[in-house]
Amino acid sequence: MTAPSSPAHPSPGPLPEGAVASGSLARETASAGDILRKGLIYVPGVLLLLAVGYLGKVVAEYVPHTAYVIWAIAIGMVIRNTIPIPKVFLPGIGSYELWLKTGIVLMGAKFAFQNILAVGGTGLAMVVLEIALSIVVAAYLARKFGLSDKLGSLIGVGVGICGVSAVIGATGAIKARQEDASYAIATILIFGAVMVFLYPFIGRIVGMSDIHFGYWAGLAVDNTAECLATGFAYSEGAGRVATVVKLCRNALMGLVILFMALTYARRGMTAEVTDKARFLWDRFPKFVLGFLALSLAATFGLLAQESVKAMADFSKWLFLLTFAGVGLSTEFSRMKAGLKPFAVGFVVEALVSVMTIGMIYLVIT
Amino acid sequence: MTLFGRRVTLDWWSVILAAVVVLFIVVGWVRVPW
Repeated sequence: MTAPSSPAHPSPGPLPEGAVASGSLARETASAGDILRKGLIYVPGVLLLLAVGYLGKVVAEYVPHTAYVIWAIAIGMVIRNTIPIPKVFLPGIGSYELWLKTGIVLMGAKFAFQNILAVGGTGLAMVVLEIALSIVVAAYLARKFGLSDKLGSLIGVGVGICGVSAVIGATGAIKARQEDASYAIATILIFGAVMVFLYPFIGRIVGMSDIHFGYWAGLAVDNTAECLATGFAYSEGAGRVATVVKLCRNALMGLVILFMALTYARRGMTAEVTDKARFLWDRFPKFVLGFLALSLAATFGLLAQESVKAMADFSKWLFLLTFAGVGLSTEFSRMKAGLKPFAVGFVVEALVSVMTIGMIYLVIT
Repeated sequence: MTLFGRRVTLDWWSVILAAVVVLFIVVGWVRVPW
C-alpha cells in the first residue's frame, strides 16, 4: 500500500507503515464526518415534516370524515405560502422524495405478489392507453395553441407518466429548452395540487368504490407523491391500488422517453440514441425493484406477519413525512405556467380524467 | 451523493434505506406503531 501523492502534496518517498495507516484513518474519519455533516443538514427540515404531518394526523382525528393526508398537505401549503421558511429547513423539506420511495419499497411487504400482477396487469393495459392519449392530445393541442412541439411533448409525457421526473428525463433526452421544462413542470404541479383535494371529493360524490378510485387516482394524477396522497386521502385500499397502477406508469417512463428521443432524432432535432438498453436501464425506477422484492419475500413466507405489519406501519410514517413535504414544497408564487401551456395542460388533464373513469368502469366491474 | 466513492442515485438510496429498515425490523430493533 502506498500513500497517494498529488502535485499539491508531493510525497518525498515511501512513508513509514504507521504514517500510511494513520493517514488512511484520517481520510476515513473525514469521510464519515462528511457523511454525518451532510446528513445533519436534513435534520431540521425532516423534523418540520414530522411536526406538520403529525399535526395533520391529530387534526384528522378531530374532524370527522377527513384523512390526515389532506390535512398534512393543507397545513404544509398554508405554512409555505404564508411564512418565510428559514433556509435551514429547506434541505430536509426537499428530502421527501426519498421518504416516498423508501415508503413504497417497504409497502411492498404488504402486497401479495399475485395481487400486484392482477392489478398491474389490468392497470398496465389502461396505462398504455392513458399515456398514448395524453401524448397525442398534448401534441395536437400544442400545435393548435402555437406552442413548440417539444413543450407539447413534455406536457404529454408529464401528464401521461409521472410528472416531474418524466419531464426532467424527457427534457434531457429530446434536448428541450429549460424554459419549456419549467412551464411543463409548473403546469403539472398546479394540477397535482388541485387534484389531491378535488379527486377524493368527486369520488365521494360519484360513490366510487375503493378499487375504482384507486385505479382512477393511479392513472390520472401526475406526480407520484400527489398520486399516492390522492389515493390514501380516499381510503387505505384505494391508496394501495393507486400505488401499483402508478408504479406501472413509472416503469414505462424509460420506454416512452426512448420512443420520443427516437422520434425527434429521426426528425434531426436530437442526436441518435446509441445504447438503447442502457438508456432504458438508466431511466428505470429502481425502487420498483425493491417494492417487488419485498412483495416476493412476503408472498413466499420469508417475513413474519408481525414484521410485515411493522414494515407497513413504518411506511405510513414515511408517507406522513412525504405528504407534509408535498405541502411544504408547494409554493404558489413560483407556479407560473404561462396561459397557453396551462390551457393545454388543463384540457389534457380533463380529458385524461374523464377518459380514464370511463375506461375503469368498462374494464373493472 | 456518494457511498464508498460511488455515486448513488436517489432510487438506490431508497432501496438501501428500506433494506436497513427491513433488517432492523426483522431483528426486532424497530417497532413503530401507526
